[in-house]
Amino acid sequence: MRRRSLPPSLVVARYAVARMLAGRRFRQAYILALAPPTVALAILYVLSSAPLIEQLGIRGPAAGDAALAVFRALFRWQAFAAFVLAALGGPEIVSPDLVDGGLPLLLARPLGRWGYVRGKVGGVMALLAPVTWGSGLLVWLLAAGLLSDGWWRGHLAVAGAILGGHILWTAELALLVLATSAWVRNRSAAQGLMLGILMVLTSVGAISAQVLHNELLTLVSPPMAVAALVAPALGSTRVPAGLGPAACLASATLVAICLAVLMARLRAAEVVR
Amino acid sequence: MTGSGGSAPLVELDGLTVRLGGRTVLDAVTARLDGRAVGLLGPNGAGKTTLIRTLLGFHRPAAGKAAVLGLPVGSGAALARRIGYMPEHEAFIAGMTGVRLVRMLAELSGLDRREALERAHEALVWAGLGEARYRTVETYSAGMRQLLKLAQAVVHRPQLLILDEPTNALDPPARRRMLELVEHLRDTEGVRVLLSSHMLPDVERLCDQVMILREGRPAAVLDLAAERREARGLWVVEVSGDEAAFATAAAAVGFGVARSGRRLRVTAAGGPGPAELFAAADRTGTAVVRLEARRDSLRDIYLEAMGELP
Repeated sequence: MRRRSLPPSLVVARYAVARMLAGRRFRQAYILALAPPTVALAILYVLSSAPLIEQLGIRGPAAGDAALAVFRALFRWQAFAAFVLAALGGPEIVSPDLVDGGLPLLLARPLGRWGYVRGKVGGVMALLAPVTWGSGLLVWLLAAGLLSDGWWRGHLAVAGAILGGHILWTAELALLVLATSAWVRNRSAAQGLMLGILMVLTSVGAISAQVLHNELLTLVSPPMAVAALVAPALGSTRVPAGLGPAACLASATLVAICLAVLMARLRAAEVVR
Repeated sequence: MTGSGGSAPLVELDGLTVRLGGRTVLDAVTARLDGRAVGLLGPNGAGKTTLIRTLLGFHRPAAGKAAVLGLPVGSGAALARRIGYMPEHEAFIAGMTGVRLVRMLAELSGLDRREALERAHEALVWAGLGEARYRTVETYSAGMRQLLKLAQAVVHRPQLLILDEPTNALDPPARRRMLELVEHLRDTEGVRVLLSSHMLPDVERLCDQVMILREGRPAAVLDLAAERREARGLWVVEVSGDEAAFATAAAAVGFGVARSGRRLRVTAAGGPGPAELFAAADRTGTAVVRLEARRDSLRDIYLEAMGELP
């Protein structure tokens, strides 16, 4: 019996995942990235253990607050791990297609540039899912089982923030690393450029917000924009409230810029002017 | 190895205009190419590669229409699955083994994983890369990379094989091998071929129809098979005496006359022959010093189309 073939963008995603996992440094970093959820789970177990709580002097509502603090820290660590993994693995899946003229071979198949980008972004996001929202939600589910009966009902928004926040962040990372790789074509340069863009945007955002006394400017930084979206659910006070719509706009702008760069750089045939 | 080519015209162009970087590269090209194997000839910048890339959907026409195998260009997956493309320039993905690269491309063409793997092995062995298929492709020699490009182009058994300068950078044995492989596909597997090449002997050997492009326009569309059948007469003549008078007299009895260096190049489609040439010489008081019969080669036709024969 003839088996069904995968849609071309899924084929691209499958080979992208395999390509990233083939890197030794990527695999090592990937295993390390699973440490934060494990630590978070251990802390939550401690918080759920009555004798241990008593010994530590944590009581009632404070245990719930501590759990929320654990999720905030976990979110930050996972977001950082996703950045490191995207920077390590992302250029591996784009630069080789562009350096030696492989792209025309791909685009001469039933695969357009959008399908190519969808596949690559999907591959990065699929690989980052277990170390971000996948393990984050798992920890949340276990916390719901370990902590008091009503905890999960009161903290559904935490699960939503983990899922939505990480999906948005990994999508932004995937697009950013693909765009930088397509732009400079060299793996190391793409990694450096990605790091540089995030650092410069974060610094510019922080400095201009301080100088001009306008918190909106911090959203120039992609991580700050995502943080602004998940902060209310995670009970964070580090990010000013009410920045949600502007954060959505900032994230959408970043996505649009990355897509524009990709469409400009991913061409099956170069046009010499 | 590959599928049937079908009976639709290979390529139909209707006022196809392509502009790139502000320059008109293909200028209202209209042609119907229905040979089994069609050659694209022309000097650098004539628009051969641009035409191929437009047929593949890489460039969008500014005006006009094009169809390949009866399907309009831009009709997506249906057309892409029928085409195998071997690009002119280096094209590989470093870090992948030959078999993995060809397998991935086969999967992109719609084969399932197992079938793609089987076909990838089959195509690489057929192309003569059986020993090298587990090596990463960046370690391949230039000739091996050409063969790899051919293997990936045929792995999904296309109806049409588009070859852009397939014998570039090949030494004579590798070139011979490449031509044999394409001939095998054409004759045994029924694959139709669109070949762009600077190598006139390659085009002459593989193609039965030729389109010569010049400055983005078709300078000539030739049915090579018919030309061969007609065996059009071509003579190179050297005369002493009033050469112009001889040329006029020869033209008056149906010869095509053109200067080629110190000699005259005289053509005739059936009818007049050497006897009429000697008669023309008699009438004009000239003497035929040299008369050499030649087949009207593709090179001559090409040079004529390029305006390089006087």
